[in-house]
Amino acid sequence: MRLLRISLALGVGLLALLMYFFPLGPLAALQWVFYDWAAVLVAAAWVLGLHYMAQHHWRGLIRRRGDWPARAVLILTLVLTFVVTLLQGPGGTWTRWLLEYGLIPAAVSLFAVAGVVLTYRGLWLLQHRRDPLAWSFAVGVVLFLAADAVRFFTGRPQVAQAVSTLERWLVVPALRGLLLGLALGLITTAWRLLWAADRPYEDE
Amino acid sequence: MADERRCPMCGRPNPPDAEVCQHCGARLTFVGAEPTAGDEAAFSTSWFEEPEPEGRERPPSTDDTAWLRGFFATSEGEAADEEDWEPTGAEGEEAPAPESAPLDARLHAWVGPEAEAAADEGAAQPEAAAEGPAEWVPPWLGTGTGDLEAPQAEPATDEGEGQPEAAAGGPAEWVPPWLGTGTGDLEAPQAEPAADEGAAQPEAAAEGPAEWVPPWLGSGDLEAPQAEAAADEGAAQPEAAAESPAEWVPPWLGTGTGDLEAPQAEPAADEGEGHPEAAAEGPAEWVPPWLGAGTGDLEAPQAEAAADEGEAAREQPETGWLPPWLDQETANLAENIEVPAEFEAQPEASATPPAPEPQAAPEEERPAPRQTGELALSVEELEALLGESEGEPAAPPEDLLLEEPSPATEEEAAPDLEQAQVPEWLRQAAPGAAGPPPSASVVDEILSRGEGDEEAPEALVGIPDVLPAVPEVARPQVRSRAPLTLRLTRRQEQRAQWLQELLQDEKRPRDLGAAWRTLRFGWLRALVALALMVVAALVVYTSWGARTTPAPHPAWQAAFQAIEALPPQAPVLVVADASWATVPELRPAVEAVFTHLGRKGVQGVEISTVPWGVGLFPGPEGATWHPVGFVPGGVTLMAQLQRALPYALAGGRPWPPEALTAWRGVQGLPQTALVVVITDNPETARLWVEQAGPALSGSSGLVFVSSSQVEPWLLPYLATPGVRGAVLGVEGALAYRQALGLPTESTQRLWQRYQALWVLGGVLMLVATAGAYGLQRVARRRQK
Repeated sequence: MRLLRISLALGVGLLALLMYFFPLGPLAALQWVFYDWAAVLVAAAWVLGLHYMAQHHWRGLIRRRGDWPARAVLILTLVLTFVVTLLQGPGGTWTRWLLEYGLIPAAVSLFAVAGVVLTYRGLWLLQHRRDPLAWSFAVGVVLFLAADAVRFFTGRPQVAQAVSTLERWLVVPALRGLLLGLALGLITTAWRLLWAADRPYEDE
Repeated sequence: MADERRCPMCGRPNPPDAEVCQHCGARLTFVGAEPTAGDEAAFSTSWFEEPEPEGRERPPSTDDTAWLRGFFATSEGEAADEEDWEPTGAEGEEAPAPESAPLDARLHAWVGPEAEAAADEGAAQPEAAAEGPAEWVPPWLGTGTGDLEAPQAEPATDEGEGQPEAAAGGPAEWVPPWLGTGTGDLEAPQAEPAADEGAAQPEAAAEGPAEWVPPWLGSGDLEAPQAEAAADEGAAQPEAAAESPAEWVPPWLGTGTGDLEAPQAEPAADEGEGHPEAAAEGPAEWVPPWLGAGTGDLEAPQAEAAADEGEAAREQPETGWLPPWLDQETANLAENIEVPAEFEAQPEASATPPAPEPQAAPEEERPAPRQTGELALSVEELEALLGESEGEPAAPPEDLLLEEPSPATEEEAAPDLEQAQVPEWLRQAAPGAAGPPPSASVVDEILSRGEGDEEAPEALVGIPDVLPAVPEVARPQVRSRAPLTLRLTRRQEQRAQWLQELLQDEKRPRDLGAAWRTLRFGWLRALVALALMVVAALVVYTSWGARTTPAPHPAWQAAFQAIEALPPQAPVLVVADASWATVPELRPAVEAVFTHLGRKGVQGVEISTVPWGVGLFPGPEGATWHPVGFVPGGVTLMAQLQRALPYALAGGRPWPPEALTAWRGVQGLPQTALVVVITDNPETARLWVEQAGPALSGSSGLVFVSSSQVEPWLLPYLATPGVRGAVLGVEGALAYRQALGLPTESTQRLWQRYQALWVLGGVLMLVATAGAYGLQRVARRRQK
């Protein structure tokens, strides 16, 4: 049984890889079938996650736990959004209204809070672990805030040029190195999957 | 494990220092099991024991209420568990663990041999009697005599009559069971009957009552043990018996008996000298064989009883080796035992052999036979004893506290102190001594009375066979099974462990003062403060009157030109992979680009590779727009779009729609006029560059509409052949709108608010920093 699982996983992976490099007609059709199955499974996973989340909060609401009002709001909005989107579709009037005045403001608020939290954690890190990484974080925050402030508000080309140079010589190489490392990691992971060195589809 | 302490109730392991079982709540330390020094001086049976010599540790005494368990067991109709209430094995040996064996096994070990022997005797099995001497070691001493060598009684068979003479020694060796708790390793002297003619009088049995309470126990004036019965008439008088008062203090009792050698009895087989010489020598070295367990390497005497003519064997009672108090029980047991028919035919078989009559003993001195199944205690007496055992150790009466016996006092007091020195309460505690013993119901009554009292039952709670760990009938059990069964892989367990360690590390207290002390007046702290103040000052300074928009990245111009070069009704694919959080930032740029596309009259198809990207940006006016929605696949979708775009978008359904006439010949991304990717994720931008960029290197191309946060990531890819341009952030949107001639008031207002927030933030930063620092200094001065 274990051999069957590994064979199936390896077969599908190798077939997808072959079809990527040699997109022949029959193979391409088979490839799209695989993609469709994957999409269906992903959608099912989403539905399952939605079900578990609703169940979890519903139990908390029934048992009147401490945060039951928040759970009630969550379940109410969940049901409302689900029903409206189900009836009108993603482009409906009420669906867009919920998106514009519900989801997007909430997401923006969370995004802003994330910025505050990151800043706070950076300073906390500087207090508790004053290593080079913490210092680089703090110095980077101060430096780029200052650069952006100067660039935004002065509008002088010299300042803009200085900021752009700083980005090219410091930020872009760092990000590029990060991207290269990420790409190498992805390649390595893919090869390990193809050679069944890593088998996430079965228990260890 | 050696350091574990198993619960006697539930059998589960506990830490060695635990006093109460962690599983069932039973007490692991018995009351009085580990008496303190003061307790030992005041209690236990030290008042009739010689003090231990220095350098030799005394074995820890066991439960002083253990004798109650014997009563309790017998009251249930079972044989008393002598092992339980035998306090210790002997000197030099660890105390037995009475609770370790099951109750049935212990009962069987105690009463089994007697019952079996009685049954065998009832069936006239001579072998059983012959084996009696081999079992001469009191079975109830079993646990205490782990390495005890039973005396090898080798009954010589003479003329086919192999009656074990040693059985006659039974009455003499009768050790009061109730004394077991106190004496521990003390036993009645052994009388070894000789087997000579006419010498088979059970003199030892006659002397039994005198030994019933060990004479030396009486007042400390120890009386010599009764030597073995003389074998020969007149000639077999134990000489040592006469000397015994002076020597009788058992040497094994006084000092260590580890190296004590037992006498080797070499019985003579001669008719005229049928008495065992060892019997005469016995008192001097009189070490009970059953004490071997305590002595360790003690050699049990080899009592080879001489048999002569078999007459003595006939005169000796067959069941004489049984304690008389067992007679009643053995008789009852024998009646209930089915005797094979072949044995019933033997006439001499006696189901109830007569118990040895202690002829010389007065009736009041003779110990009453032990009556199993009953307890010779009244309710009040038992309560009193329980109270003693539960609370402070019961101190013996002062008149019973004996000094170390000396030979002189022994000689003086030995004749008449043996009865007077027996404590009254101890005599009453003896089974069958006075009145009918209470049954188990009496004990239950007493214990049930104690349930109301919080103090009373605790002393006995957890003791095996006495009280359960908790007063409830049903013992509460902790549910050990988890409500959910989680199946985790090793990697998942590692991750969970890492996460748990991370959370614990967050909660771990830290010395925050140390970090702040180093930063308080350090140059680093001053540098950080200076940098922040410079930033805030720059913001405040430059914000006054500047009101200019920042210079956008020049990539917006390439994007503008790419869209401007599109032919009418060109097929344009728009990918909306943004998140809700960045929609306000992206919307000005997206609106500008869509307006431009509308002006060009393109046929756009909008898709999203992430579920949350659907419907974020409605199509422009003036353009033929077809929103497809979420298309799964991620990277593979991007690859699929290169070669099978209709299948990827429609999934086999008819494609394209009627209105999208320009899309009829499009089979992949290379046939599209332009691909506009709206994203705030640098990873998504990178994937589009890597996957679709090479396919769009011809007439088509990629245009990014992205957030400012993606700009540093996206800059390295702007030089890629497939990328035509990018509109980045609000400044890019402003520039694009200005290029299109769109009104920029709303965008300008947005920008001004943004500047105002920056100024406000800078001012707050300055004020807050200065205020906090000033307040801190003021507070510090006040403290000083």
